[in-house]
Amino acid sequence: MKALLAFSMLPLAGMALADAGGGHDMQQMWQKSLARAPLAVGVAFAPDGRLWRADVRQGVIELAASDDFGQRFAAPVKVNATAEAIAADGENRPQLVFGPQGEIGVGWTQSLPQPFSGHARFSWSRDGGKSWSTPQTINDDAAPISHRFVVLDWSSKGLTAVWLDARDKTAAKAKKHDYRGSALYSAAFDPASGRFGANRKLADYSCECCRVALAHDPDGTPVALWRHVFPGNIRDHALQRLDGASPLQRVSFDQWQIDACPHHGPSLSIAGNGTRHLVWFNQGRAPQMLFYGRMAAGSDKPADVVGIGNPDAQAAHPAVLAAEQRVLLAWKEFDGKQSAIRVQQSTDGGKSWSAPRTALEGAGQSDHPQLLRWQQRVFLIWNMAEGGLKVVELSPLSAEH
Amino acid sequence: MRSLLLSLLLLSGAVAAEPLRPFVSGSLQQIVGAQRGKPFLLAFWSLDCSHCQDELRMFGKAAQQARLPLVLVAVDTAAQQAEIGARLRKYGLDKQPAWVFADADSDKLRFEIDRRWYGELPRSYLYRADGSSEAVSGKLDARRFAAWLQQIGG
Repeated sequence: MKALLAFSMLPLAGMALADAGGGHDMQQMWQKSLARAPLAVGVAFAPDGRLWRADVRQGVIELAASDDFGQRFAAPVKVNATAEAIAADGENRPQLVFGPQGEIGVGWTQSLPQPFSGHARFSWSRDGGKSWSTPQTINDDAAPISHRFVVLDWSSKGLTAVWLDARDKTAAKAKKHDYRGSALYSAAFDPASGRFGANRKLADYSCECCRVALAHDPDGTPVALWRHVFPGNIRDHALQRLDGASPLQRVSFDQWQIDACPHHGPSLSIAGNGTRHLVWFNQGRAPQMLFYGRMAAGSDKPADVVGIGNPDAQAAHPAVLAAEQRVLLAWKEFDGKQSAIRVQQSTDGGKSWSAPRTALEGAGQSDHPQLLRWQQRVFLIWNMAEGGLKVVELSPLSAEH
Repeated sequence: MRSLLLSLLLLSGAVAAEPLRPFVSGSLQQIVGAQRGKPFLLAFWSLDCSHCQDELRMFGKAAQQARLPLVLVAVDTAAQQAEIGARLRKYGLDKQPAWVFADADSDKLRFEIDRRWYGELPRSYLYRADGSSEAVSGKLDARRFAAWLQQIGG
């Protein structure tokens, strides 16, 4: 209720700003920006090839499907009947997954009035999106602290949620103990009861506000990749196979030592042969800041790490997608006037790369790029304030030249 | 004694809180121009950056001791100004000049400020008298901040 109140009061703020001196009508500008849906959109292909999008509008998640690869979307359906404060920014976006029986699962982070606090939330539909379960809170700790940045993965092994959780940090602080960052937690969904089960801590000391990447190995076991806080406040990346036995592996070695919130999480894609393809952002090896690396199944660190993107053009927020030997990278750059999504392709499993090219560009505010696969076709998805959701197919390398 | 008097003065509310200013294209030049060549600290922060709170606490303590040439810019939205104001009051920083990002295209604002800033927070710029500045990502080290205070005080 408190969260709802805080949410409903949002549009009332923004009235008493000092004048910028440039004739800006601040009030009008902000009313306009509040009326717009946040740009952080969740997208996924259903098993039948329809592309779904999940947008946040006035505290409600709206789902819409397209049967022509994103050129047109049908009228949306509402997931949560009661509006709540839903986080929707670059690192926190609605999560959209599909189950083996055509189930649709939607996850999101509900913001609470307390700073840095939230709940991981979930609702699902078993009738193709017509009706939705009452939203449930996945985290079994109800304290108004951080349980945010929830991500979902639905594989042959079931539906898994992973999020960043501050309960251990809070407990440590109460005892006046130091605690680095946050913790990574997970829970498994039980379709019979329709509930997520007991929460399990995967790792202490994650970074606090970078998105987590979640994918699964060929056997269906989920694998998480996240920014971790290693001893000495080194914010490098860690990977863990969520089989209950595999240890945390350090997978980036850029030595970025910093007391900061980068708001800049990694991306992970696992090929059919089990090779893990990773992209991440780090400043420890400036001037290069974006990196790609790949790990063959069973290897303990990435091979052939390469820097990508132009650091003088704000190269940021990379995505990776492996469709067997074809691997695609996409990231955002900005030249001072326009944003561009730059892409690079490999046809030999990530060993060699094409020159980067601009796949989409435009002025104004925009979301991070996303890559999706439907069978052997790969699509780039980018949501823009001016121009809306762009969906373009990235053709195989041979067709580009 | 002087700091005690100053604290009392601040507590009495004799100094009015600064209104939050909208940071738009060109605001950086306005901020730098207003300092008229005096060294100052320009600090970017946000409501959802936990490390920023530690830094704000450090700034707040320093601001109690002496006049602090500090300009704060929240990388949030003007819609959050009530929360921003409350946070600044909490740390005793509501008398510092404070701005909030007020262009929906925050990428553009950030590029204009510094094309090598990727949005990590906190982000500070230590401006020298000659108008040049040094960028720092992450929480300003307490010793470095103290050294800088001493340097500009002398």
